[in-house]
Amino acid sequence: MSMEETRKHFKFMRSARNWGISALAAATIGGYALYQHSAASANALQPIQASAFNVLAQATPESTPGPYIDGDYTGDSVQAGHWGSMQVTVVIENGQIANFKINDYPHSTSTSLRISQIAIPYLMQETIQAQTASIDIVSRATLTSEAFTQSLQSALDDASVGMTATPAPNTTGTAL
Amino acid sequence: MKQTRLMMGMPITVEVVDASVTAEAFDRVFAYFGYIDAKFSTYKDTSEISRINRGEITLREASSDMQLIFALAELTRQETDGYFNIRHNGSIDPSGIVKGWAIQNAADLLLDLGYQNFYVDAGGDVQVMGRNAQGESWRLGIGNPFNLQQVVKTFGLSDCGIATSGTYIRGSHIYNPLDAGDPLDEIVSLSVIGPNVYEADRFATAAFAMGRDGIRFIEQLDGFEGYMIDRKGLATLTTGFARYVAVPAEVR
Repeated sequence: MSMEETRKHFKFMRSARNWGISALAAATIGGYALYQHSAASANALQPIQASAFNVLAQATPESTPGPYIDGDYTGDSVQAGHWGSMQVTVVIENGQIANFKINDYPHSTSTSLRISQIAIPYLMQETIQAQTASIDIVSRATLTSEAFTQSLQSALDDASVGMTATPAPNTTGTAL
Repeated sequence: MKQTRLMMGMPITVEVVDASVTAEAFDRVFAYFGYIDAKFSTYKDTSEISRINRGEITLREASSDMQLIFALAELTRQETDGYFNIRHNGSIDPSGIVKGWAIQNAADLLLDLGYQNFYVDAGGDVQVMGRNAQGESWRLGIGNPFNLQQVVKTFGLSDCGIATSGTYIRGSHIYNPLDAGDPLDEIVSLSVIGPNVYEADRFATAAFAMGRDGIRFIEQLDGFEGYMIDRKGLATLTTGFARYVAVPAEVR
């Protein structure tokens, strides 16, 4: 679908919403009442509670220039449930948070992965591979685990008082 | 000009490359997210949604934004055959629809201010408009769910939205409303590209709850493309996704 068609489609979606029409649902959803139950695996991912929400909200800089002292600050390495540990470096520029880097994150081992018996016909599949092309933006599931927020908070605590900045490891190929 | 702030428990990044951009524009965008947080956060006792959940006010007595969000959530529930549902265990958490909607409104705010080349990224869900600082399409990468320091797919995007749902960091923040005990562990990440981030986000959330069928749901949805990663590191692409990646981002 071209960008022009996409725009037309969006106009349709918007008007459908305005008029309370669920035409889209009728056109596209049929057949999805059936849900494939996955058997609970012994290696099921453990939920991580995002309970540090309020702590981070308080850390938000409200004005420019920000409250922090320029430099790179690395937070504590924090245990992230069954995943291992997580450590975050925050980059402060002009007193504000300019960037984050994730320094330490557990890799999932292939032996822990359950082999799926469910095939998806017609759609193309590929094994994921790390890319080296430079990028502007990363799309990923939201980073709000307790481990992430704790490590980030400790880095920001250091940035508030201007503790000696820690050199950040090279994290080429990623940005947040 | 680019700024990141921690709000709503996640990094929110805004970059505007139009030369005319002012610091005030950023303040207005972040102030808008502050307003959203104060109204819709289930973590804040004083928020309007918390008051609704405690039974202190009814939806009829709530603000027009709250009523709109409930209406959009109900529409999405119907469009996804019940896989999207803000009601869970007797309480209401509209964050699954508020986030994309808020990013979209923040992007519209920048458009209204006359900016054309920017993106708004809230926790990995992004609205991209116009071109980047090099005058090219914005270069996006899909985060590797098994290694946060890597991206596994790169492509150029402009004037559209992308959202990723997953279990890999936050834990199972998405559940299957039709089977609360379903661990949803088969799929670790589902990225959806759509006409805007609001549409991409709500359908990414719903499709993720469908497990392995989610990518087929996106495939059948006109104007949307998806990239799904399972626990083995095997990705499944919608048929149109390839056109985003056919040309390496660096030579666009």
